[in-house]
Amino acid sequence: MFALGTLFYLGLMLLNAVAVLHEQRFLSKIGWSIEQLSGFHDANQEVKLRIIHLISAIRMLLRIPLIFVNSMVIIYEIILG
Amino acid sequence: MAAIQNNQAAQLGFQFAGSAVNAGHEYVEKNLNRYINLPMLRHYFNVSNSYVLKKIQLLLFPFGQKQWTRLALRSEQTGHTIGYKPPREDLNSPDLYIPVMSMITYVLLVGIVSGTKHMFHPEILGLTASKALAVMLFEVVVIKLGCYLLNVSSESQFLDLVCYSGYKFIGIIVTLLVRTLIPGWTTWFVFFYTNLAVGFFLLRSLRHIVLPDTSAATATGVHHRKHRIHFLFIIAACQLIFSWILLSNTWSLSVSSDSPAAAAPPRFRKMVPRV
Repeated sequence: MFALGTLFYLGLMLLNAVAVLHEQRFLSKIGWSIEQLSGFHDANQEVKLRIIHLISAIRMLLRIPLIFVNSMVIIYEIILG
Repeated sequence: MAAIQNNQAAQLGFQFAGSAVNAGHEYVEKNLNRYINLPMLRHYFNVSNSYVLKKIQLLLFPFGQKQWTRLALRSEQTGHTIGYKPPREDLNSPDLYIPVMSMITYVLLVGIVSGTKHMFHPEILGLTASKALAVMLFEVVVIKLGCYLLNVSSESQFLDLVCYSGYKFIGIIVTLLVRTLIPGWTTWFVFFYTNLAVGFFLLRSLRHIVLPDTSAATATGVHHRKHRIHFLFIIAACQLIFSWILLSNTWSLSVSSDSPAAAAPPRFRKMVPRV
């Protein structure tokens, strides 16, 4: 049943999936690391550029909140799931 | 009682209470305005009877419509554009009245359909409402994310997208009604037709949000344009999936012989012969 709770879990899991991507071990190998971005880029790659920025922003901003939200969900699932 | 009214202290007390109530009212108004933009919400609910009828007609038969741009509202002193005209004066303006009403109708209709199979449970209403909200929220988030990735200068309001994602309930209501009244393969025809209509409507309406500059003819402009048109088609095609999800838990409820449309709201009962 697709409902608001499912949507919340979906968003949380997707954010977790982005947050665990490792900068050196994974992202730099496929060329998606924010550190490798040079100053210039051609316009055709703008979507990729924006995805890279989005990934780094999620990794930087949401790391600490995700810890709390995840632990709350885990406790909820253990007690009431 | 007369003694209380003549008493000076009581008069003072009444006055004080009155001013306290007024202050409380002002406080609520101020704080409500801070979090919810009430004038903007009023704009979305500024509809008339003829607008609602014409809009529903447009949502079900959008193929003949020629004019899709929204009318700009101009300031009376300067003549500058200061926004868009409200739905009352402009058929192409998105409104929130139809999405809200059709969503509630959809939730109640699912309850009625399950009631005709003697499977009604109060929980069904809550679950259906939750699912409807989740689908709308998901669609709005996907469109917002797509706008970010495609670098669409997003001057479009969040509420506009909520409106556009809520219009699909009209098609779903028609499908549900037809399925309950006329069982058989007609349901599938109506399901695909209403989704086609809503998809076409979104394709033409969202065009002005996703493709703001039609005059950009540079090489990068053309490239961006291609991506954005693909994005538009994906959104329109996704309507089929969303409708499927919203109707999915009612497929299993087969049709009973007695007509449940008698309990449906009269506005939608009138619409059935037209489809």
